[in-house]
Amino acid sequence: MLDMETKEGMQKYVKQVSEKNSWILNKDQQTFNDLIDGLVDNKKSYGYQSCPCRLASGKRDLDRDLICPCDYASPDIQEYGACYCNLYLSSDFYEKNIDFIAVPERRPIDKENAMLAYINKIK
Amino acid sequence: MSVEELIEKLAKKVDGTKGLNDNILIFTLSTCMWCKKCKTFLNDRNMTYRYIDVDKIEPQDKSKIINYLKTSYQDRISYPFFVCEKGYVVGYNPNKYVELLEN
Repeated sequence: MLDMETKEGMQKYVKQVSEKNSWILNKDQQTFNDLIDGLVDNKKSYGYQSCPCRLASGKRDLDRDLICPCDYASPDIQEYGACYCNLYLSSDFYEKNIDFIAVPERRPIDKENAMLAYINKIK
Repeated sequence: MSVEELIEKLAKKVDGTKGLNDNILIFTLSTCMWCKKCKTFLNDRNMTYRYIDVDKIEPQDKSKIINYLKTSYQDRISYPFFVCEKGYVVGYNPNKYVELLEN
């Protein structure tokens, strides 16, 4: 059982995810560490490893699509070679001689609005 | 409290020697590596700026800030959300920052 509230546990988790999907992980150590730190922080804050590059509501049902690997990782990697955060990359990503790619937001705006409606109600 | 006053209260200031008139304000997530890159971009250029880590503020404030961004700029909010005197940029885009800050 991985303890995903630790950096080591989260690193093992994302490694398993990448291997299972035949993706590779970002090789830039600083970026990778920042992403792992963000995932660990979110795991501690919300109880699940919500995408570190998007604002979560804190309500699991509304954030389910953002739990890493998010629902958009697979189509984004297929189309752009990277997930929104650039944590997971296509196996040929580095053959393109780029370090990063800005991936457009694929998450439907309805889901973002549902998150906002939820936050608006919190008193 | 108006949104402007709320921003004044929440924003953390980073002092630099440049960009004093650019009035740079970035809305960021503490967990986001693109947001870190944006802060690094500004730090490396010794720019003065303010930032708000939106994930770290109270829900009521979060709601006010996001509604303000949606109403004032655009419906789709992504981070970092970069605002300065000459315009705004959604998402990390150093080329656009350069355009807005150096023209």
